Amino acid sequence: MQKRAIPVEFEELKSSGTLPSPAGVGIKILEITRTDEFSADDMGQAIMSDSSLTGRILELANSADRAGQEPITTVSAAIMRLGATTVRNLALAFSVISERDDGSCKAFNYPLYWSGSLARAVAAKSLAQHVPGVSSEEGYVAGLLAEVGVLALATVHSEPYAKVLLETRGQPMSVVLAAENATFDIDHATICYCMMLDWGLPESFASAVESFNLDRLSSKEAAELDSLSDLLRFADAISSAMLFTATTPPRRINEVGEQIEMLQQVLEYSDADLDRLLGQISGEWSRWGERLDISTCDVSFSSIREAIARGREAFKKEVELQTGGAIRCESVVADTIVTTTDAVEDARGLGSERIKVLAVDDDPVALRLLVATLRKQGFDVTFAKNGSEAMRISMREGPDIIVADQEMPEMSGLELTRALRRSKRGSSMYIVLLTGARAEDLLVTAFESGVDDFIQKPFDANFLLARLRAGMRIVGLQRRIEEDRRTILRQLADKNNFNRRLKMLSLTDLLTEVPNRRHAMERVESEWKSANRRGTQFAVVMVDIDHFKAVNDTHGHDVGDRVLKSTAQVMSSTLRGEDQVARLGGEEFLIIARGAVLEEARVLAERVRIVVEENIVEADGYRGSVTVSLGVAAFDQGFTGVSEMMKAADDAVYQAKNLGRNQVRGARESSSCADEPHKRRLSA
Amino acid sequence: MNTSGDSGGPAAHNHSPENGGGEILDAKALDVLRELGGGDAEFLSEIVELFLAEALTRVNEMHAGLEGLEKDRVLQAAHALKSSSAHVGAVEFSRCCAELESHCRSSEQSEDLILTGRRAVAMYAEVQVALKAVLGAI
Repeated sequence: MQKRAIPVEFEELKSSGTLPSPAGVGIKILEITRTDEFSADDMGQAIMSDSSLTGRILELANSADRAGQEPITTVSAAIMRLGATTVRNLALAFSVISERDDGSCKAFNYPLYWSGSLARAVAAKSLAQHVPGVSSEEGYVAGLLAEVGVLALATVHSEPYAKVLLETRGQPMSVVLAAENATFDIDHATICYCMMLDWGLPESFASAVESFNLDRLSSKEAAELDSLSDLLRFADAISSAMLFTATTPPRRINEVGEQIEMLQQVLEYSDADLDRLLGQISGEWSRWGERLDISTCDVSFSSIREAIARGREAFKKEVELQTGGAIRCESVVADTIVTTTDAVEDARGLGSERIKVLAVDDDPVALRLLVATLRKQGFDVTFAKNGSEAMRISMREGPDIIVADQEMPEMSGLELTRALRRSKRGSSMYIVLLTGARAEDLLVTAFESGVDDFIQKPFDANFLLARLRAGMRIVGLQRRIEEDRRTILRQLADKNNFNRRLKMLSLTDLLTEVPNRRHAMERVESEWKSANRRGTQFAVVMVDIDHFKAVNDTHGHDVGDRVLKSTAQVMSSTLRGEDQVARLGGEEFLIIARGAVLEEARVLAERVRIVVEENIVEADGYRGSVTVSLGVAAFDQGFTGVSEMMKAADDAVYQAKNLGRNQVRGARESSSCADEPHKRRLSA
Repeated sequence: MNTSGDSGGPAAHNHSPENGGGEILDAKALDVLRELGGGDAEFLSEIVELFLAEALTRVNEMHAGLEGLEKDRVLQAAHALKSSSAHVGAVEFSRCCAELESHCRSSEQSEDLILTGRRAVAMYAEVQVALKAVLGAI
């Protein structure tokens, strides 16, 4: 077996520890089968330790393609019939699926990936009988894992890969591969190949899958179906057709249509034969989907045929428009990866909108039936075996509907309901109790405790679903109400926020970002009232920058603005928390000192004078400091009102100016120049 | 899942060979399970196996409770068996458990309780045989 060297880039991906990989039994199987001479018995034992895995393998071994053979019921019989290697590969593939989760790559549609992979697997399984040397199980495994390299990139490099996917959306696959190489030095075809080898799949298998990834939907002149990669190509076309949506681009539909036509030729099938084949594939797809908890949809092939016809017509027109009819169509597109888009999701309720149901019963038989019934209806089901487990899950996952058995040891359904109703999260859940025959005594208490509905055990599936429809309606309404409530709250918050900002703006001086005159006067008024009513003290300090006009005239208004700003800031940072500085206008500021009598306010004013004098302002080639003249007036000086107090402070500023500036004056202090303040003001 | 009983009386028991060969099981209930499994036999066998495992413990409990005349113990077992056996179509056995449950709840003499209890334990043996036959036929 000749193998290529594994590129170092793959080893790096692998060492991230987040590559999609088999889990649990899968790992054990990998270990057991590491060498070529592994024991089929040991592997059989390992598989049997997982009952769901066993069931899946038996189902596949007994499936319709092998009709006419005796049904087999044991893993060892399956190994006998299919061969140890095939069983091993199946077990690995199933265990990779069971590990899946919706990863974090935003541009990657995980549910769609699995839906498409499963459809491809089922199609490959059906077509395998026409390919010499490929068993249907091999086809199944190959189909399922054919795009695992894409999944690997989405998982390991979720963010950069989202970017790659978005940038190459709708582009031919060759562009996607090139972009992957440019970003990660490796592409998904190579990763696929390496992962297959890593899991011990044969080299021929790995390279067939790789060549499918490199050369998907290549329009060969002569169609043939004689290798595993041909098989994958046709299976992929069928899978894509089953996932067509209104948004699938015509070009893509055209390619798929060509492939399906080719397939029909190769198989020499009539339209009716083809319909039968596709119908069978679609049926198996939904059956396996249910089994593996992968979403599928009901497909009518007459509608696919119509879609293909319409798509090809549209595509022809597009081409004619673009080139006058002389274009060769680009062959390969990564539509299954991104562009078949969310329309599918909407139609089938994939993704987040599925209604979440929590099933609770201590009786394992009843619980299993309940879960199966609910899952069959497409609910997203979790389950719990007792009340306290249900409580934990409810708080963690917030199910929309809870169906709980009433009679459970320790915590009954009713107690669970009461507990849930006490929590905010549990208050909006729709709770249905499953009760025994003698539930009448319970009715009143139960409804009072917040139970929404009752169903008698043993339950009838149709009846249960009819009752749940009522619940779904309520869940829908609640979701809408919750959404409306959020919108309203958001709008309200926006509005409040806006109003607050408006108010703040109206009270703030835009240049210095300290409160403006209006704010300052409101504050003085309120301090005055409070002082009169409660006997508290306060003082005002009027501040005027000395020779400010000269700064403006000499250095320009920009420098002047910087001086104002810087002075406001330095004053503000000098004050105690309850004191406030405001800009009254021009170069004039007011400090309101709460609780201060005249002497204390003078001390404060002196401190301000010093910090301003020491504050160096640098702006546009200017470097210097300014000084201020300050006038102090305090409530304890017995003014008759706010305006008298303000005027006194103003007068004190004039005195300070007259006395040589850069100093503090208290109101009503005697001064030789106090009688002619107006003259001096002009020279400030 | 219409297991909740329109089978009438013992005379109405189904004799279809598909049900594992005993009249102790209601074939309709088993069909419902097959249908729920989407025509997939594994689901039916999973449910039956779950039941057999669960029921064995419960029947042992019931037996011990009858020996020691512990009404509560018998009651718990009968209650649980009543509902889960109905799911796998053991209608007659389910009915017997229901009867036993009501004997346990009544305050009267326990002779009927003992008789019904023994009948239930004996009947379970038949249920078990019939269900294993169902499993074997899958």
